[in-house]
Amino acid sequence: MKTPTRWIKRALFYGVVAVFCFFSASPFMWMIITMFKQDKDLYRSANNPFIFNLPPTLSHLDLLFNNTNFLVFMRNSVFIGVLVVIITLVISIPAAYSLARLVGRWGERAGIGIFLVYLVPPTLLFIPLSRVVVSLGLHNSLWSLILVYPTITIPFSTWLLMGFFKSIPKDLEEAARVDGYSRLTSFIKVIMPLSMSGVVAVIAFTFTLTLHEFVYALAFVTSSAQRTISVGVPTELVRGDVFYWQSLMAAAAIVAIPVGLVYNIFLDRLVAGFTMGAVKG
Amino acid sequence: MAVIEIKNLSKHFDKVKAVNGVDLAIPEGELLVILGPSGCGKTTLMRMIAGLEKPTSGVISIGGLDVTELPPRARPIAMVFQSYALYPHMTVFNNIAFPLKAHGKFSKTDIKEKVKWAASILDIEKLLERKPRQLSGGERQRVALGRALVKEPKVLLLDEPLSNLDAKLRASARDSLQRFQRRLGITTIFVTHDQIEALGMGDRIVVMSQGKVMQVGTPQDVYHNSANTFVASFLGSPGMNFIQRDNYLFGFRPEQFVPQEIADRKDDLQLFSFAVTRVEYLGAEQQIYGVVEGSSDEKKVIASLSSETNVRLETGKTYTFAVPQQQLRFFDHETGLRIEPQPL
Amino acid sequence: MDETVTAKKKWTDGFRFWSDREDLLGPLFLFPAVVYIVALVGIPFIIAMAYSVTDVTAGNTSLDFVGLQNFQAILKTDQFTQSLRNTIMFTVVSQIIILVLANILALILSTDFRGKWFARFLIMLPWATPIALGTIGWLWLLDSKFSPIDWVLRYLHLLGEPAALLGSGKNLYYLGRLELAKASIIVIYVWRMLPLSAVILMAGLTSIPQDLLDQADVDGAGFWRTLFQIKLPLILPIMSIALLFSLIFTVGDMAVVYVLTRGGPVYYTQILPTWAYLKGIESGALAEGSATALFLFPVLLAVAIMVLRFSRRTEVT
Repeated sequence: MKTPTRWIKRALFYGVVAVFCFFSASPFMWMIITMFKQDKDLYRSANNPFIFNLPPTLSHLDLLFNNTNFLVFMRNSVFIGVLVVIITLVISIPAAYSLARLVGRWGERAGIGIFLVYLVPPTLLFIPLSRVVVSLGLHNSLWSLILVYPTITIPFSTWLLMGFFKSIPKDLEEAARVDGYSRLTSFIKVIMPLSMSGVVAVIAFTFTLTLHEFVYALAFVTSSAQRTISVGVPTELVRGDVFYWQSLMAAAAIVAIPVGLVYNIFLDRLVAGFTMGAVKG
Repeated sequence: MAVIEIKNLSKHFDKVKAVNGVDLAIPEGELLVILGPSGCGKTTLMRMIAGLEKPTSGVISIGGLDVTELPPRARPIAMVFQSYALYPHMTVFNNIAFPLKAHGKFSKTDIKEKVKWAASILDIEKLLERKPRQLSGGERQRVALGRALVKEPKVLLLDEPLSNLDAKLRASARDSLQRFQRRLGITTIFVTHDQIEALGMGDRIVVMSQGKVMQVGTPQDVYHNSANTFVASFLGSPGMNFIQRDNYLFGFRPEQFVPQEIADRKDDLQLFSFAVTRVEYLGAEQQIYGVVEGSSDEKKVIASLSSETNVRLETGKTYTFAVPQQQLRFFDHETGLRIEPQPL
Repeated sequence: MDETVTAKKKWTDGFRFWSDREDLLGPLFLFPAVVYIVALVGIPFIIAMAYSVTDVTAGNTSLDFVGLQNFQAILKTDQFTQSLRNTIMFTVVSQIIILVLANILALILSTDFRGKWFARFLIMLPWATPIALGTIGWLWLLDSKFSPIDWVLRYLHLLGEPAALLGSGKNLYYLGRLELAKASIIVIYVWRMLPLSAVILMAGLTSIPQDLLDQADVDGAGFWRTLFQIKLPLILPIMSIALLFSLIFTVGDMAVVYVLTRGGPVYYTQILPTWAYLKGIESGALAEGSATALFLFPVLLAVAIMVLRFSRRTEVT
């Protein structure tokens, strides 16, 4: 009597899980199947689209890497990502430490203020920023993105690191000061080594955020050689009205899946950043 | 000569006067205990001596040098934190070596030698390669002491160093800490809220309350000749009983308050009629709660008796209790300060 | 005495002294971040507001004050009102669906089951992927001729036959038909934001003390009662935070519409950000573009303040 209902409940549960997983993953499955398909297989609406009616091929990957700007976009994105990570760390580590430990009670308010900046969407600012970029002579250069992206990454990183620094016992840096270090060097010698996992999370998020960003990359950069993955793939891999679907899907999958993996590793920390203040402990 | 001299030291946090006009002189080699309830300013006082807190006013000098404006690293002090504050990412060796590396003028062999020396004193040589999280509470405490020791400080500051140990370990830790301090002869300030630690270990005790020093003296002094009602009631468990008479208070310790039958006849006894309301059996001793009749306020009075005593005491009955005259203490009703004995 | 003076001097001069001063280090450490944010968020924001009340264009950058003329002018155009309606509709509908689904998903993910790690990875993928690339995947999935969804529908005889339920045409033309295009956009927003809301809610659920749930159990509350009377009320503040993030990220996105429909058919799926982009960047009408981009800002600000207040007030329990 009891076992069948339990069995049905279990099946129902896994059924719901499967539906959610399918909904989330279907575009990616479709990408992966498509990227290996021959034209004659793909472009026949009578063919079952989920199986290989003709043998799979790597020719579209070849096209993507050798005959498009995909690698240029990749290089641009990585270049931007690395520099933005460096700028973000240099600015947000001291700021977070200052808010967590140095500036006292109004640090709390300033911290919330910084977090609110993260809530300002790029769609609000891209018009004036495009004029700022023009007046700095950075128009159509990926340096414009290197300049602007930290406005997105600094607030969140600062907020995240602030929580991290706060979780380290104050005693440790006070002990370091008694042991002979200054306020500054006790931070460098004791707090920084203990915060490495927070710093790594910030690196991961900053880098992926720069990969994600679309609005500024579209508005500030127009020449193909300066475009990022996020804008370059959907706008440039289309020749006229002709879509090279397999190459396009390959480009999307090659970027999306590794980024998704990295993101997942640091997910819990990211969520902690979002919910800080709303969840205790 | 006093190693530490503190003059009119105050620390105000906004409107809260955490430490309020403290004067203190600590001679070389003394183990001074600062005792008080939480929030009395004892930790703030120690943190100011360490340089972790900047005084609002007043002067601190250590070894004749005015250190009031100097950062912690410029002071000849070392400190053991309540949490021990061991650096979790370093081995025990590196924890102990940390202050030496900070100093910057020791060679590698010097550092090794000094760490070995400290480790041998504290009997932690076998732990040098471990990380703090692999240590027991007692071992952590010794590592923290070792780290404080290698600096060869003029003054050692201990902030409730025993409160993180479990109760059974504490007695032996008190003993080893005291012997260690005597052997090295290092001037030590020990902050605690535990009067057993204070009475058992201190050469002198500073009792603090609400940012002020209530009394400074030997353990016997502060216990038997408490300077005011706060010290008298804070020390001892339970604290001193008080009874109001006219415009003064008189008090006696619970262990001095005994049934007339078993009181020492040689003493000049003061008798009270004591109505028992509750008898609490606590193993080796019993505590008798009741009211002294004829006092102007019907406050609860407590008597501590050995459980072995052959006098039967029952709830709801009235007995005659006695206190030797010389054990009575008199305090001013307004100020709470000790006054001359008054006729009862 | 001399020794005292030199020792003091040694510690109170220059860098050594400075590196111990909290009152100097604090502002100094904060300064670069504040400068960066003020220069590239604060000032542009003021410029945006200034643009919206002047007649500036990319060609003529002199600022002449025109009051609220830009707002009056854009309100008169069909494209703007359509974009405004779409923005509000897409956002509200997607948030409602997200809120319901995210609660279910959070309940699922806060239990332990076989393969949870992999399920979580799959479910998180949409949020982890650059949205423009995810949308490209959808674009192909919703292709007018080769959509596999259509193929499945045909296979099930729901499409492409006389008297089939969904019509006799071979395809549904998701992005070519207005209602389907709008629905597709909403589906993608849900797809994209659901993971974030779910994991935030999950953090809320796992932060409920086990004691409370045990107590409910002892008190005889079943699954549904525990859910509706204990769990959901307790995660209400965090639900509001999840909603805030999902709302802001949805309103602030233009990649989905830009990549999927470019505002089409005609301009019927245009939203405020894409319309502001077309006006402000592609046609250089900075003033009207700024007015369009800023239009919903007061509403967003009010919502954000309300949510943050709510979550802070209820936090004290």
